[in-house]
Order: sequence, then C-alpha cells, then structure tokens
Amino acid sequence: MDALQPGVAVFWGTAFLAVVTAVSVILIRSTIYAALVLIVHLFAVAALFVLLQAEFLAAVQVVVYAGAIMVLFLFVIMMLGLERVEEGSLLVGQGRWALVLGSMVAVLLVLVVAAGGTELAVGPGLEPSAGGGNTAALGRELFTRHVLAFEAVSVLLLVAMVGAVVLAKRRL
Amino acid sequence: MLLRRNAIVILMSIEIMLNAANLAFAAFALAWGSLEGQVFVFLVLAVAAAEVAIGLAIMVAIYRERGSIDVDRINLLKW
Repeated sequence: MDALQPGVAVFWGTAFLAVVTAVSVILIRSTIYAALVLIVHLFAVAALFVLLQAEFLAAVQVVVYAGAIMVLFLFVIMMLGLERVEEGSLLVGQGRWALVLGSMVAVLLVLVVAAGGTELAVGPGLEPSAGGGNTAALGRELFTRHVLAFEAVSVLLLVAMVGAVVLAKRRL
Repeated sequence: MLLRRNAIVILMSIEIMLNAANLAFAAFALAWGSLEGQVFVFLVLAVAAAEVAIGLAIMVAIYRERGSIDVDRINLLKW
C-alpha cells in the first residue's frame, strides 16, 4: 500500500481528468476538438502509468500515442477537411441503452476491484533498484521471455506500413 | 448501436478502449508484482499504432471515394 500513499490526491485528480476527457471525446461536436481532448486524455493516462511505477510505459505512451498516433489523426482530419461540425444529432436514439449497459459494466468493474483486495505483491521485476530501473527490467523481460511476440510485432508494423501506403495511394 | 456516426470519432473511441485495457494491464502488473503486464502494454501499444495507421488509410480511401465518412452511408455490404 505504501507504493500508492504519496500519490493519492494526484491519482484522484488525474483519474477524474482522464474520465472527463474520455467522455468529452464523444460528446464534443467538432472532430478536431475531440482529437485535442483525446491528447489530454493520453497525457492523463501517462501520468497514471507513472503512478503505477511504469515510468518507461509513460514515456512510450507520450511519445508514441500522443506524439505519433494523435498527430496522424490530426493530419488526416485536416487533410480531408473534417474540422467542420458534423451534421445530424449526436444521440442517435441509443443513448438510453448506452447508459444502461455502461452502468452495468461500471457495477461489474467495481465488484471485481472490491473482491480483489488492495494488498500489493512485490515481485523481483518491479524493484527500481534491480539494475537499471523500470526500463532495463522491462527490456530484460521483453527480450528474453517475450522475444517471439516482439518479433511478431515488428513484422506487424512492417505490414501495417505497407498496407497504409497502398490503401492511401491515389492511383494503385 | 453507435452514439456518433463520424468514423474518425469511432476510431478515437477505439483508442480510448485500448488505453483502458493498457491501464488494467499496468495496474495488475503492479498488484501481482509481475512485469509481464507491462510487456503486454508495450505490445498493445504497438498493435494500436498499426491499427490506427490502417484505419486512417481506409478512411482516407473511403472519403476519396464517397466524399463522406458518415458510417451510416458506408452501407454497400448491408443486406
């Protein structure tokens, strides 16, 4: 529990910001404002990663998610000229269903968290002094026990790159 | 059963869902004292990047073809 004590107020503030920005992405009419609010959400999630002692993941989240993926979103939005307000109403009739199912999922998540307890197990990989900090420990784990997944992801990224270029060409 | 018909906003909502899964992975990595959860966050992040690239390329192609990214109008496969 003492791993979380210093950041309790920071946690609640950041979590509130993350939830509010996530809901705002859907409710904001303008596409480009929704993208900008999503960038704030990604920074809030990165702050939560720091609170969860995953500092390397927080840095990767900021650099890759907020820095590359959202830039790609904004680029496409501005290239296609989609920053106009979209036509039609926002709640196309399924708002009530969304509330019911969403609150059911929320109740389920609260039950799961309440049943799990709040003790933290301390494993060897999470001690920051275990040679190099979070980055080195994560690297050791990734390149020894999960090297197959790592190679598969690199092939996936190559395929995605080729596919994106082919799909977006004007003339094949 | 969608709240927004703008395909770009749908793609952004998928990113929010992937972020939620990443947070769950990282939280359980801390709770169970295992670094494997963080490895999975790394892999999910890479998959999300690839998926966004492909999804946006598809949206660009559809917009060039139809002039709109309203998902209710992309209905050629509907019966």
